[in-house]
Amino acid sequence: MTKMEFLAKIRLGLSSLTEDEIQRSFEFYREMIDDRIEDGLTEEEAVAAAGDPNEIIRNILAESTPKKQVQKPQTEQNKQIPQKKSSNSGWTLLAVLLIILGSPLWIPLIVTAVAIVIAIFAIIISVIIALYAVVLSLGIVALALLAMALTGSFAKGILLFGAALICAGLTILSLFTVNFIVKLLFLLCKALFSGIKSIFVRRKANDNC
Amino acid sequence: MDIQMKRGLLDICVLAAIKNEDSYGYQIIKDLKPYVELSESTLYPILRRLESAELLTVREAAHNGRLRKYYGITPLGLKRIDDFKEEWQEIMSIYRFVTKEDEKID
Repeated sequence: MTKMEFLAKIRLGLSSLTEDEIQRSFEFYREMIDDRIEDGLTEEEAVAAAGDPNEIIRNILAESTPKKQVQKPQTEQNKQIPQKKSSNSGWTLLAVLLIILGSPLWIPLIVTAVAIVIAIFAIIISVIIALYAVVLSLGIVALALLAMALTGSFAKGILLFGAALICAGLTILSLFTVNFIVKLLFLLCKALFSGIKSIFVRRKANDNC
Repeated sequence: MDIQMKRGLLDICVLAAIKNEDSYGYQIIKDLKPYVELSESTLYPILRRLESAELLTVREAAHNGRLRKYYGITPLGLKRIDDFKEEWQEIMSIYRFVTKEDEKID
């Protein structure tokens, strides 16, 4: 094995370590081999004397794990932590910038969305009010017709009484119908509300992640 | 020999090898050869450990057109050797006590 082959093997075997750590090991073994060659050994002999590259790699890896925890805080980790922090703050800075720059877009969008939701609820409530108004007016007409039937002539009274009965019947029928429709509208409101709620709940869950 | 003990002893050996003057990897191995067999795969982690513990410092110096790393002992490293000598006195007295017990039994 030549010196270069030996050193390439070590470099490859240590690839899980930091570049600084790899470079240090690389230089150490290169120096060792060079010193042995200077001492009169051939390149082949010097490489052989340096030992088995696999064992060397194993030893360095076994040592460097605790070393990374104990010694690294002074050098590499200190460098890495601020980097991480700066990249984090960089991301939040970008997010803040996007929020600020996007405000002409998202503020009207949110206002519109809120307005639409309010409008939908207003429509539903007004529909309910209108439906009950119809029922109430039918009831009032029935009562009015009944009052008029008591005052006029007999034939006219019977006619008006019949009309009053029809109106009363319509009132009762429409009341059931309206109640049914209102129930449906309430269900619709509930579905709409839970739909809106689920959007926000999902967003919160995403934020937590 | 116990691995932890041997590790500690090798640390002291390397410190002692650079105690009087700065030395480099191959020279340290050659100097220690008559006393303890030390391969470079063992020496390298020791040097890294001692450097990170600030018991020695590393400097690079040109040699025959290439860079060579020279290791020099720090005051902390010298103290480590002194501590070892003191510890060894304790260990020797324990050794004497242990062997005395042996004599009694015999």
